[in-house]
Amino acid sequence: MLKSRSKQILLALTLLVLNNACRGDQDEGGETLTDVQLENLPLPSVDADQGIHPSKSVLGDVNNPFKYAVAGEVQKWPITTWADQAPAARAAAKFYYWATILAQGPDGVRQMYVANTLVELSNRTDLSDEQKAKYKAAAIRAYQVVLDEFPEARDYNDAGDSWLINSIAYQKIVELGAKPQGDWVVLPGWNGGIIIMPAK
Amino acid sequence: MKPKFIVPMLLSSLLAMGSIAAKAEAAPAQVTIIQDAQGAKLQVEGKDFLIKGMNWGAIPVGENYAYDLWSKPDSFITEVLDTEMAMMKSMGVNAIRLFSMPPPRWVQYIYERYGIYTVVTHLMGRYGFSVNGVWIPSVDYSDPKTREAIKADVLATVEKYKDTPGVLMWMLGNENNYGLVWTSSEIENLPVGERDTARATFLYSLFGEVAKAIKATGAKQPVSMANGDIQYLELIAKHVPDLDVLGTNVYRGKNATDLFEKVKAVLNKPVYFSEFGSDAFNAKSGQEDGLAQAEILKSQWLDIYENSYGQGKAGNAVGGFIFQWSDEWWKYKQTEYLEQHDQTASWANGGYAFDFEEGKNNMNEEWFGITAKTKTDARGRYKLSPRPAYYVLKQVFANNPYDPSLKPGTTQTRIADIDARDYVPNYDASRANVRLDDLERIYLRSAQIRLESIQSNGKNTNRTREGWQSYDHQESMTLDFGWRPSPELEASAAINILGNVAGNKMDEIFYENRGRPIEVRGEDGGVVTIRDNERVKLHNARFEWNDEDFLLEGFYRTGHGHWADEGDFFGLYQETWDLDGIDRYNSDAPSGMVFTGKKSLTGLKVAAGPQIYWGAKPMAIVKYQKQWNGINFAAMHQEAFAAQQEVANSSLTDPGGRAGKSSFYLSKPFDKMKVEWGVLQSGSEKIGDHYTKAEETDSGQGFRGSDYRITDDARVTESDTWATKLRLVSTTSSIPWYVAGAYRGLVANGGGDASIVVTKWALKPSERGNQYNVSGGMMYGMGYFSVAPQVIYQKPLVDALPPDPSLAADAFDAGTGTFQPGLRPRNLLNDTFAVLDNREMTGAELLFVYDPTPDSWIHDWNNSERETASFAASLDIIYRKLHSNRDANLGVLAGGQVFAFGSAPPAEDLWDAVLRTVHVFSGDLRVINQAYGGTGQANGDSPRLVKRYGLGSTVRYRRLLTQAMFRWNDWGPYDYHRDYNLTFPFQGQIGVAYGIGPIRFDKDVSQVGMRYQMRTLDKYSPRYPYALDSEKRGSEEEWTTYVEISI
Repeated sequence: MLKSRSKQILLALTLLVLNNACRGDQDEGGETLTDVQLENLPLPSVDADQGIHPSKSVLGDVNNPFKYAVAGEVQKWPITTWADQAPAARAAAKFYYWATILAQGPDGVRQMYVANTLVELSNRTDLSDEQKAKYKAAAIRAYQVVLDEFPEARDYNDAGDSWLINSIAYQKIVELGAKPQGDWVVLPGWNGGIIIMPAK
Repeated sequence: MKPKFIVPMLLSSLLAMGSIAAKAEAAPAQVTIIQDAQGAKLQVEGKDFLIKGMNWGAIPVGENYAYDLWSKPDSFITEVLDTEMAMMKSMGVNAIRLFSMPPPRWVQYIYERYGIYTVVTHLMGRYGFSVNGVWIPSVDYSDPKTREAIKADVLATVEKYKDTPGVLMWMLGNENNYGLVWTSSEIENLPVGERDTARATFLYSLFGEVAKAIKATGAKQPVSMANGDIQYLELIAKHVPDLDVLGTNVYRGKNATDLFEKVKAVLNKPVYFSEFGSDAFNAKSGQEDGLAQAEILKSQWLDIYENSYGQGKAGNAVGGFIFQWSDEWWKYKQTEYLEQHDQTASWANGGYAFDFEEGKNNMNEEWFGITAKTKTDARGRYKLSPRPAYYVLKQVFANNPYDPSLKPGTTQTRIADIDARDYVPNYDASRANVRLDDLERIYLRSAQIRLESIQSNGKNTNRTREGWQSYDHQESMTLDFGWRPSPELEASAAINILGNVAGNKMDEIFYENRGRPIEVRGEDGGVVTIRDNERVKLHNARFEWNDEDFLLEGFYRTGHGHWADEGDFFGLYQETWDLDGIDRYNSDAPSGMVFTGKKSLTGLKVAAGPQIYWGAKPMAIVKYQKQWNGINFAAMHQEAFAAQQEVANSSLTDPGGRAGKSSFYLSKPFDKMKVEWGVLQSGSEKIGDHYTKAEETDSGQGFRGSDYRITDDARVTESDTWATKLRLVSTTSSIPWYVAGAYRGLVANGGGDASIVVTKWALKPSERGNQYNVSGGMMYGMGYFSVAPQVIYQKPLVDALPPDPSLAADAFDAGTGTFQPGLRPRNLLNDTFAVLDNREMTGAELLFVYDPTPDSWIHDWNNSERETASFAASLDIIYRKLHSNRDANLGVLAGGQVFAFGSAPPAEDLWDAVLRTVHVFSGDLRVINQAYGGTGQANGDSPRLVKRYGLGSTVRYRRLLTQAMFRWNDWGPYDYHRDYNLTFPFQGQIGVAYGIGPIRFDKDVSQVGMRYQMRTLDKYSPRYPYALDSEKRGSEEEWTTYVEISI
């Protein structure tokens, strides 16, 4: 009697689990992976430090067209060049692109481009003063992250020349009317620019 | 109170109560004093009674006067009494005096179990007294309220004890005459020379009042006191007429000189020593001197015997209480250095001539015990070693001075003939034994030092390693300490210490390379080279607390087994034995604790820790296993609390943070078969995650004109978190066999399957989610020969994404502003699951074994050492048909960053064959051969198929060991070699070693040896300096000579 009851229990449990396991993906939509139009994307939110290292909130932003893509470096210049042609309509796409690859692989140059794009967003004339102030504040924080987290990051050009980007980040913060944080010595550079060095 | 104490406590209490009940009617001792012309003596219940007394206390090392034995659990008190009273009874002690009075039931217990009487002491305010709630440190015996309070308290004590069997007498005070320091106007008005006498008069008049009051209670026991020597004897005679017998604390050296005569002349009452004795430390030599103590005590007792009743001298000595039973390590300074057996002499006494020097102290308060004491164990107990005095006094106490059959002086002659030197060896042996016990509580488990000199060279190799030079050397020492605070608790820890760390080893990753110089940027921006990095490091540690109710094991970098045989059907708790690998990668694994319940908690196991097996996230695992009606069931839950610690090994990379897994397992034997079934839920934190999948579609109608329709909005559902597995096993039939099957949802990942079913096949289905599999195998034996075929088929529920490179790249059309994400293979860093070892596979394995001695199984991990057959061999042939490609694996960069490879190797058919033979020609000669060959794929993204093979041999002849291993076209020794598909055309190694004993494969043996290693390099090898299309060959070689000294 007990033996048969044990078998019944085993059978019931097995059926229960198999039933659960075989229900399948009932809510799959099965939509084809399609192209994403990058122009006139909704403006990104920066409330959760989106686009500012170490935040990875951009990867969960439903408006991010790159959120399912493992967006590598291949398209960064085509997209950037395209976006720069019409900043008003395309800055959001540029922001999402650079912020996505920043979240996937933290890097000073990527942070710099996110910051530059935030400046562009803050300059849009169609935004409220409150929105513009948010983007400006976010840009200052992003440049500050370049100083704090990537002080030795370098950018380079096609000719192979490279340069430290910390001085640019420093100058950008000043231009945005803020005071760069950290102990830096500011020296005059070429063409009226500056060069910064750690004070210690 | 811990449950384990309850039973013994109840038992002992019941025994004690039973004993007491049996003697419920037992009357208190009737103690009388006989005094006549021959002197005075005590009689208890009508029998002559010489007090062979002991000042007894049981204060452990580390405690002081505040220690209260009687507040401990009954079981503990019983253990103390049963140890120490038994020793005293054996010695002949018949009475004890204590400073901390036991409750009456323990007085009775001591008497009824051991026949030892107790003197009830009241200190009469000697060290302060509380009057109306106010503590008075220096008692004013002239104060009426104080006198009343003391008197009332004494009478309360008498009332409490007077009917208790085992009470010998009442003893008032303890050298109160030495503590008469109070000041009052009445005293201050007296001339200086009379002040002390005045104070003493108040003291003794109080003693007199109290003694009289005790008599009035009807107590049957005599009244006594503990005076400081015989000071104020006249005052005692005058003010304490009801005193029955005088007790005095006497430290006069070998004898009491005129004490007995003076007491007889002034008091004419029996007298005993309430304290006397000698310390066992020679202040002159600065060494323990138990012999001197024994000589003095023998002499003092001879004095007592000579002055006892009927012996012709004073006749008033009735015995004494030796000071004291055991050393008290708190006596000097009393509240400081309680763990130190202080050797400071704190007062001088010329009576102890053996170590007296004029002007110097010679009395060592902490060494008065006639037994020496060890430090305390975890349970608060200690061991006692009887000093020579113990044995001498045992001989002394065997003599009865009141024996009417003996002539006066007979016992004295016998006592004088006792030679204390006879007993010195007893003490030495006992003391050495307990000291050895102490030493064994902290011990050196093993020690090893390895000295190496390394000469390396190479051709066409990139020697970019920091500090590379052709000759270098290395020194490494490991000391493994163990300690055992108590028998049930043991711990050990090994420390590794580095000398120089070689920078020119061919195999550049090893445990000691943590000490290689590293460069860091300083605050000033300059580069600083740190050369003494981690020179000393905790190599491993472990502990085991084997309590009655549980077993608690802790481990740090020490291996442990799996729970596969205890119901862990899905590998949630994995074994960790690859300690060489852990050393090599300097991992902190495994690290954690395992709790195993006993008694009512039998079947419960809990493991928890930051990395309880190699690669584990910080987690806890709970398992409960039980048998019920012949069914064995186990429920398990694993909960990860945080992300994985930094790993140095890609194959163990497990991204993600918190995660939970639960499993349930049942097994039941049926006739010749066992049925095992289990269900797992895992990955519920991934429910709702999107994943990309590909479906074949009409030609050219799919994604980017391909044959694949790609969707990216499928989501993980609850059903994807479930897995089930069924296995039928028959090992008792003539042909053992098994069949198994599993169905696993997309994210229902388990751990590796460590179980051994039927035989030790190497091929196993994946334990990853997203698949179903079936497998089966059998073993057919013919005498010593067996053949065991096995087949496996597994298929993922959702296939790997197609590996078409044209689909992989992101696409962007600047003209339209459209972006199309590329179709990259899934990976565990960015996707909720990936098809890896669970890709579609048809596998077959054929295992041939020739093993004439099954008791030394050829598959045992230490078979090379244990095999007893003259010849044993195994040949394992494995074939895997991998029907499809897989998704991308993860890799780890040198800095520890985890990344995903961009692609994965394609579908392939792989085979492997491993032949191993063991030849035992004699006890002196043992040969182990191995040959292998096969094809393999990289863990990373390289599509190149590796065809590798090799052979090797190990020969041990007596103390000589030679090893040779040759590999062709195989990966190097590290994981990154296979991750990046780095192979060497040839790898060779020849070594010879000579041991101080036979060099074993499974333990460290001191040895000296030499090893030659070489590799050839081609374009697939690391450190190859030429372009990938170069056909040049490079080479690396290394000579290592080493000495390894181990115990």
